Amino acid sequence: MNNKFTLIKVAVIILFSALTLGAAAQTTTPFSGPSDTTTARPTTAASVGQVLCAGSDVVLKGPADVTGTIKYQWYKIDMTGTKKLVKEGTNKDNAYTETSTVAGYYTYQLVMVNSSNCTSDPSDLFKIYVLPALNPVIAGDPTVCEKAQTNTVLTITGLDSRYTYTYQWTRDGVNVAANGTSNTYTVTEQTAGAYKYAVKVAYTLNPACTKTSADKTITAVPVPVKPVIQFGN
Amino acid sequence: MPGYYIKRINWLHLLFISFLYALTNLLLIRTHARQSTGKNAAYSINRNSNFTGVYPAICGSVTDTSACATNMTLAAAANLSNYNWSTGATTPSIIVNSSGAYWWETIDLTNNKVVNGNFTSGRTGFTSGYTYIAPTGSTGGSGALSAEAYYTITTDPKIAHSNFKSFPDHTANTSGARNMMVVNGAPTAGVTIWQQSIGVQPNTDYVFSVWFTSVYPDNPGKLSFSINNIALGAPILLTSATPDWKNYTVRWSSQGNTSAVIGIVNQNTATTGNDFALDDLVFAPVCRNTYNVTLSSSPPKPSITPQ
Repeated sequence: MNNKFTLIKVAVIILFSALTLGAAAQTTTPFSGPSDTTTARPTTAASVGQVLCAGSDVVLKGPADVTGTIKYQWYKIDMTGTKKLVKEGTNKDNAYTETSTVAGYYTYQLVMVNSSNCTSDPSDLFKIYVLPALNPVIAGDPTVCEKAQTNTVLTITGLDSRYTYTYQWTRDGVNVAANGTSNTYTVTEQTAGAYKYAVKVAYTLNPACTKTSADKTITAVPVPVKPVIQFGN
Repeated sequence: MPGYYIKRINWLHLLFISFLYALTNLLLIRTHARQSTGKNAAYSINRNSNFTGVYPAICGSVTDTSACATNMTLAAAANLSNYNWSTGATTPSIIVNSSGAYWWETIDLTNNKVVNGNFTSGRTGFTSGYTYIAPTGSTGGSGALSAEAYYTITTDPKIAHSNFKSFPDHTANTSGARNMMVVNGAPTAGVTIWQQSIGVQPNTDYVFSVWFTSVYPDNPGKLSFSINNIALGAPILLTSATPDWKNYTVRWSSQGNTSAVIGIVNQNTATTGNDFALDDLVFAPVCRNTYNVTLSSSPPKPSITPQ
């Protein structure tokens, strides 16, 4: 009986605590993930507020407040189009940060509230597009004949065809100068041996978002030695 | 013992959180937009250079109002005949664009000091230098008010004189309180038509209001008003239209007086015409209704900057 009474008191305390917190500030409901994954990717970087690499941190700021009396209400649009309060910054905290998860649009809005409880007009929607992770893989015949007798064409798989990219091929860690920025690379080797080829892929929307493929070893095999015709017996 | 310890902590916790809850709500009430009204509030406002004191002492309201805006519309009660704002405006509402106290005044009609001001109780509550006659009586060939210096209480002037216009009282009631005082003006000036002695609060402003109209178009009456034998403004000349109910309103400060003897006198001595009606006399305290306005600016529209 005593335990039951204690449980009831605990429940009352929790209820009062919830009411107190609810009365003191608006409830924030932070959530991760994008606001929109269905709209086509931006055609240019300028068409959104920012283009970020996969998994990057979203770091936004509102106007600075020297008085420390402004509340910064950060809103984020969820996948249903609903605006949700994700953070209420006080005491000069004008920043919002979040780690992006999957690719898509992340849309935010900011409202400032002063000490008179007067609210600003909502800011314009700020859209961030987070790119998907890159995973380039080199494909192609791994063998060529030395002395450039044969070649092999290296291609790249694992890239999303909806995006555009820039490329830089490397041979044994050194950028290939000639024809080294295409999406394919034709390997010819003069000297027999093993050569490590890789490609660094970058998004056109944000050239800072790059990924270098795993090395692809191309083996240049020796050609038969020049035969010598002998005469006599 | 552990159970006792837990129980004690929970009750202390409950008490503490209850205190926080009350404190939070108090702060929210103070912080958020407020709208409160208090009746019978007293004010300490200097009314003029000669008078300092509680004004008005009897009635009024205070409304605290705030908005996140550069201006605000303040509205007085609807359907009043006279509006008087602290800004000098006489409109039903005003627009203010700065914080501060603004007031408008009205008459507290629920506190009408005139007894039988609408004559529902006949010729009671007041005195008159005129002679009363019942509306169906006779002082000559045209009816009760054929002779000068007579008055009656009736629902229609024509009942008392066949040449008077037929019309209802000021409020045009068709039943209930619908009497008016109808007078055939005396041929001598200064005869009191209506007089009543009223107890008043010192240092309080009152408004005296009366409605009047001619009942016969010729030689409209010329009425003057007085309180404690002091004339209130210039005489008012009635129009010749019948009916043409006009309101006469005057403000009076009781200052140190505790009584007010209100008198209405006709200054027109013409024997032809000079016939009129009175109705709905009011002598009531002025109520000052104050808006304490707080206008606050909103933060500018922010812009988001990526880092």
